[in-house]
Amino acid sequence: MKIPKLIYLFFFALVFVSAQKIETKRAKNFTLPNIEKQRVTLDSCLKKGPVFISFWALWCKLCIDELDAFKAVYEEFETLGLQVLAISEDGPQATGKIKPFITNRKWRYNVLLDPTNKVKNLYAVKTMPTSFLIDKSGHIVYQHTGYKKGDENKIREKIKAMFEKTE
Amino acid sequence: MKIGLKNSHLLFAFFSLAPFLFAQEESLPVVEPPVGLNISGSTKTEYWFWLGKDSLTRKTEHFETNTSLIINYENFNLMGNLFLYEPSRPKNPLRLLGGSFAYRTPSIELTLGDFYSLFGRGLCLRSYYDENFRYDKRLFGFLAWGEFKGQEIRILSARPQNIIFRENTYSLENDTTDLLRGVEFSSSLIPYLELSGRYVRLNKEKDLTPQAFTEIFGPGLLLNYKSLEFYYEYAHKLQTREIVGGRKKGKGHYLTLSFSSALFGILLEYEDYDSIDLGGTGFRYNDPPTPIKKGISINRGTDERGFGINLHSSLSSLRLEGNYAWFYTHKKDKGIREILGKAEVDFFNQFTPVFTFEHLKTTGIEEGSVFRQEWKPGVEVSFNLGEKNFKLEGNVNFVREGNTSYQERQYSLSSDVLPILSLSFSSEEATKGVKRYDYQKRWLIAEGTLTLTDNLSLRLRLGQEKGGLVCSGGVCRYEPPFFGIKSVLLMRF
Repeated sequence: MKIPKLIYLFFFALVFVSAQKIETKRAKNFTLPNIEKQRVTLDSCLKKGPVFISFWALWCKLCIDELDAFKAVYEEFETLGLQVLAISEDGPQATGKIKPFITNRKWRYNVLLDPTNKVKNLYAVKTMPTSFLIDKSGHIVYQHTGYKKGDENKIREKIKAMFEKTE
Repeated sequence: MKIGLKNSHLLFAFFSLAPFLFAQEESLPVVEPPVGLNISGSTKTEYWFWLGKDSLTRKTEHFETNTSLIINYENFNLMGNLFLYEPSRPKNPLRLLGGSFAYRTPSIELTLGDFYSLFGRGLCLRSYYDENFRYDKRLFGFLAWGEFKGQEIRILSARPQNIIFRENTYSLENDTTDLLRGVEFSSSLIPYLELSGRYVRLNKEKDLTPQAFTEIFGPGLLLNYKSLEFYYEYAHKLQTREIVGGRKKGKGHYLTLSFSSALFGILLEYEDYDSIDLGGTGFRYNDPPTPIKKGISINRGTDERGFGINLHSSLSSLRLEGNYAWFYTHKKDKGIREILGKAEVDFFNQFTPVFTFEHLKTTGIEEGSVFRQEWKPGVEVSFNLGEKNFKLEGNVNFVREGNTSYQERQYSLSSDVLPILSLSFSSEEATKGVKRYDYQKRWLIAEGTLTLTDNLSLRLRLGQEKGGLVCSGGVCRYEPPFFGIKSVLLMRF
């Protein structure tokens, strides 16, 4: 292979060191339909309080584990105004399966449909699950990729710190 | 847009440096970012190294990187994407520079450049990007969407690009001079009811008949009342017969009915497609849904009929899931039957057992295999020991292929060794060597994922991959066996 991979690796090494803190960036606004066919806009949600966004799909086991585990965190902070937008990246063959699945799973999140990955691309999400915590002013205060048991506690701490900061 | 070698290096350098430069700004003392201005992106890079050579293409290395950069100002979005694929052999790299400019408000969206679009459930048009399956059906052109009091309209005019990864090589499948134009309308004026209609027209520059074109169109209906949801879509295709003239017809029906409750959720679906394929050999611009959960289709809209039942149930600490699907040609000479079952017992604090069952029967789906039947029971147990988690999985696949019978046994162990490191080991063996797997009988894989920060992770995989038929969303490809190292670097900025 003639392509100088070492040069690429050098660039990546630079990015490794530098591109680690993305907090305080503004969350990009978007509009998507939810499973009840109502259109949901991020900016409108932010007027009510902070938002936790999670990109998930029916085929993504870790995404489902994360959203299952997050139910307790949501119940804890819901009264303080936290909203959850669970953005489904499933294709049209799975659209009909989402509502029975989430009802049975007892998710009370606002589940949005993004079958063309419009918002996933806007947020440059390359793997799932990926989640974002956005404060009321519209800034991304925390971002998380992947899921393993116990990660929900890390997110809980971030939400707690966010609410303490705004008090 | 295809780009030259020199340019690809420069662009890659720019895309790589961009996050570096922007990140410098953030290492300064906390400064509120300018309101409205936002720059972000991500990179996924893969490097594979064959220990030996790829038996099909004689490659020894594979390098690919996909970098996205997004600049957002208020309602304007500028997106850039650079894809580089540089294999060692044969010399067939693919370098693509894409991007789009979009203006978005809650009621209007205008996009110029690369985009993906879906009409209805995909019977008439579906373009998408499946990152895991390495399949990109992008459109390049103009897309306009508008909404007013429950009425929505979407109009597009674009040239498609179908990029697929097959036999360890990326290739552009379609004729990129094809032109797609379409319009979709939906109305939700009546409570609980959404009515829709769509029309797509495909013009090919290389059609022999003057003014030849293919059109596909049809209505849709969605009834959503409390726990019940009913969806129906019809597609009608008219295609010019080459040379002889006249119009060739096709039709497709797709319907789903679902009921949702806390105790159980059920979905019934039915498909009947007769000559509604829009595209050519090996590629499609539409994607009629398949009921098969494993993503297998027969001939993708040409001649298919089937149904599926999907059931979820939660009973206290027991969670059940079942899936039955049947998908055959109208003559039933080719097809698939699939049964999937899963029971999750969430009763114990420190471990969770999950019992799985899979049955698949295929007729004439895989090349060289007229009939194949699989019965696959399995179990997985997750142990939650505070900071450290372990997962054990095992299954046995009883395979019958023509007159041959054999078993495939698979075991794996995965663990979060450290908060930033996960490891997994898996072993698979077959009781009999078969041609499809190069007569190999044992495969071992070790994998490690290093999560350096919330935005940076590295995955390394060493070992032998079995290969075989892999499918997603109705698109299938044969994946050759692999022996070597695969690394994936994921980064967000």
